[in-house]
Amino acid sequence: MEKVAGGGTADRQRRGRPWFLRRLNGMAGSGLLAVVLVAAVFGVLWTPYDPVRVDFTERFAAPSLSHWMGTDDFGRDVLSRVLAGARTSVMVSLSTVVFAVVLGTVIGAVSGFFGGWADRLVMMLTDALLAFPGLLLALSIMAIAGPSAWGIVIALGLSYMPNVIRLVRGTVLSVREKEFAEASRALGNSAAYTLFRHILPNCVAPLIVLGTMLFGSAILAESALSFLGLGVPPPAPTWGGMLSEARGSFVQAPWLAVFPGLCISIALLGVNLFGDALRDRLDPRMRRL
Amino acid sequence: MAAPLLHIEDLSISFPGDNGGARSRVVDRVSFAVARGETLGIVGESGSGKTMIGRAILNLLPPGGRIDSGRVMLDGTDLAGLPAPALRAVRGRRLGMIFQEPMTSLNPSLTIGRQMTEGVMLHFGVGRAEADRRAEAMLEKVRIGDPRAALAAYPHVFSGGMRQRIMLASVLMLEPDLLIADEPTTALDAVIQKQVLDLMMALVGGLGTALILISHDLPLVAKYTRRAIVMRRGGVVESGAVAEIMARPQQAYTRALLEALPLRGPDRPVDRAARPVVEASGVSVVFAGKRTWPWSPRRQVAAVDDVSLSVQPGEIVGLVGESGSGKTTLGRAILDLVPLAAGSVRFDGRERRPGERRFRKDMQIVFQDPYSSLDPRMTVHQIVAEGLRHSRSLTADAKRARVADTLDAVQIPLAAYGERYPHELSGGQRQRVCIARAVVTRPRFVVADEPVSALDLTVQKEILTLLKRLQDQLGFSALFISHDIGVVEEIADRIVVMYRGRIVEAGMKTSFFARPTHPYTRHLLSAVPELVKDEAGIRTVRDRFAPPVDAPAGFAFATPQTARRDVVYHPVRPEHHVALVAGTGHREPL
Repeated sequence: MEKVAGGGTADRQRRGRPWFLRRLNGMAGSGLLAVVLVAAVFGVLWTPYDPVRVDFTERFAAPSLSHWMGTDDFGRDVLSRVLAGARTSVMVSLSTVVFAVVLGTVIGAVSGFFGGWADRLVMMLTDALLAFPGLLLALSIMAIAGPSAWGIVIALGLSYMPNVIRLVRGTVLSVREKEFAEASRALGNSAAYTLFRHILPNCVAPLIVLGTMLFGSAILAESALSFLGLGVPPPAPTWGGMLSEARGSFVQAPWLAVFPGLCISIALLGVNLFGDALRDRLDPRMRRL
Repeated sequence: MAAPLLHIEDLSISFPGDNGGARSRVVDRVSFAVARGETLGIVGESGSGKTMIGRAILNLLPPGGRIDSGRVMLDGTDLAGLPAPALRAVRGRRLGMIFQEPMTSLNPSLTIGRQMTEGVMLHFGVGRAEADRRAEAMLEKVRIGDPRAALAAYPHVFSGGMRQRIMLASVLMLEPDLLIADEPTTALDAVIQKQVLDLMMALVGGLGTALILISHDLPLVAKYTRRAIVMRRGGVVESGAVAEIMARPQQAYTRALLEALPLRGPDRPVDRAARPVVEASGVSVVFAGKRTWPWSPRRQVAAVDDVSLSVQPGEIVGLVGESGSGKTTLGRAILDLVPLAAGSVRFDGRERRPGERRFRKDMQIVFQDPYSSLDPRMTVHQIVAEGLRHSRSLTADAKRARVADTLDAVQIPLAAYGERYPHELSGGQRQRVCIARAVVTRPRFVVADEPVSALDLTVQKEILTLLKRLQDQLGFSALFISHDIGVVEEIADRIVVMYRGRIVEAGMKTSFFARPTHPYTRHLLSAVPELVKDEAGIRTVRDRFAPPVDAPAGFAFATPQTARRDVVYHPVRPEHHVALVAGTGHREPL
């Protein structure tokens, strides 16, 4: 990996810690992100109550010791639903990012490395896709595919892919002109080997940063789709869906909206701060002296 | 002597250490003085701190740098303690600076005129029209063809040498008391380097400006300055009159710097009757330029134009020419790294088809820039071992042993350096790794594309020695490409001079240097200083000979009119040919 840039005084005091704990944004970001990830994993293994169990004797219970985050209009435990929702959000967003990054990298790399008519076609398509607002594009794909978790992954993945393609293509274009890429050809290596062994590894740093940022917007977009009723179908709990259900009873039971909303904010803030810290570290142009 | 213009006393500069360690001293208690109108050279290798001194004078140290002690006195005022506004009045007006990299020292988004007049308008308070008039006069002095048009142009239309002359003009336009030139010509070709330096000296002499010339090249400094200080690791090793330092260097380090100047290598026997390892015949390479309109045909630029060249077994052929002469393209075309537009390349008597990979491990290349030719994400061991991927006959153990042997041969031992990444190596070490990568397959033919021009003179010497030794041990043939005819003279058996995509002269070393015939060859030779030792062992640097005043008729490319005419090669001696224009009836050259 790269050497850590000699930094300011605050940086030096915290030397010896891993890089993401040296600066405030990295510390806060990784902390918040850890909370969300732990919640997601935890939600798979154990929740205080069954997140979909209906109990009409406990409708609209305010937060208390038995129900830390209260219950909703069907008497379902909000904490259990928030934990289960974390799993859905993280799984869907992660799959979206992996889908967009893997496919986008392959398309972008091939397009940038080989050029020619295929490159021109790919660029025309990505330009066309970029001309639509991402959420609108995802909405129309969802409307065709119908609401399901995989539908969201494909819809959001496709709308994020142009960003990945553009980034990878640009980086490949500049790296392929470096002399070490030419040296690889001179050694008798095939084009595919040169691309995957020499050129792509040098595109990884910006890609990781972009992937993190996309993860954040995927969480938000998934919540928005669920809010609009086009996400993971009920009764499976999602943060966006919970917000949507809470609308009718906001005055009566504000905790129904507050806790899922807080979760979305925490997750987004964590991911974005972490992404910032990652970019500070991986992108030398953004690195402060 | 009157009070000196600039007096540096006990100057120490430090930078923060790696990983929060102690600050490291890059300049340690350096003192010197420069009188009005005097020329002083500061000589040292990369990392000797010479650049930091130049920057400290202007108070332009990079972030983190700090003056620990000492004073920088300009006419009795300490610049180090000066408040920012007073300092700004001194910068540019009294102290001018020229940087190494002409490609980045001009702002690409402003016209030359706007950049040049900035300083005059600021320091002299003159108006736009007057500033433009002065800039035009100054551009005339640095011999820019059409000064009025140049003022309206943007930097990208000028070549590196022209940009450096423009920089020179804009700095000297303010008539500073002192000009600091930090490696002003290191990024330029030998011929352009001489032009720029000659011009700089003439202008500085005319204005009575004092000069500090910072360079890694002692012979160059010796040629242009009266006094010099030699620096090593932040300290002054030797100082005094240049003539004295040259004649009687007191320190081994100074002697090493002096002796780094390339010397003519011995003649070696080469079997001229054997079948050539590489034979290029009628090779042309054409690059497609931009279209003016979508429907118009692309403009075609012939980088290499009908060139034939053969390399005998064990022979090193030196290919010389200025930037843009097509020498690099020819090397790449022979290796099938750029497609041929016409002609053919035969390897060992067999014609090589485009895209044929089985010749690859027999033909290798060493690149110019050791910073971009190594994959930053691979270790030294991985980089060198990669060359053996296609050697299927070797076992894994044999491959490992081969990598270790090769790295040993280039003095980068596997045990110590194998797991390091390129950014942890110096420029010279990287170039050694590049060489190891090229020879690990035991190729029959190696193209060395300016392998030393990005390096310090002393490192350059080491790399040349290494290449010669490897060639001796492994017996490969080589095409050694350089803009510096002095370097080629040291290593090559035969010299080929290229100009605008054509060969203008080619000959065996002895004959070539005894009778350089083509005007362009003589032009190249005139740019390279020669180190001469007299009977008493006293070294002096001198020009080989003056460039030709007027080009004799008959030589191809000698004048623009002869550039695109048919060329015939006329023998000067056996194995020594020069390009003449066909049909002029020209007989014996010279």
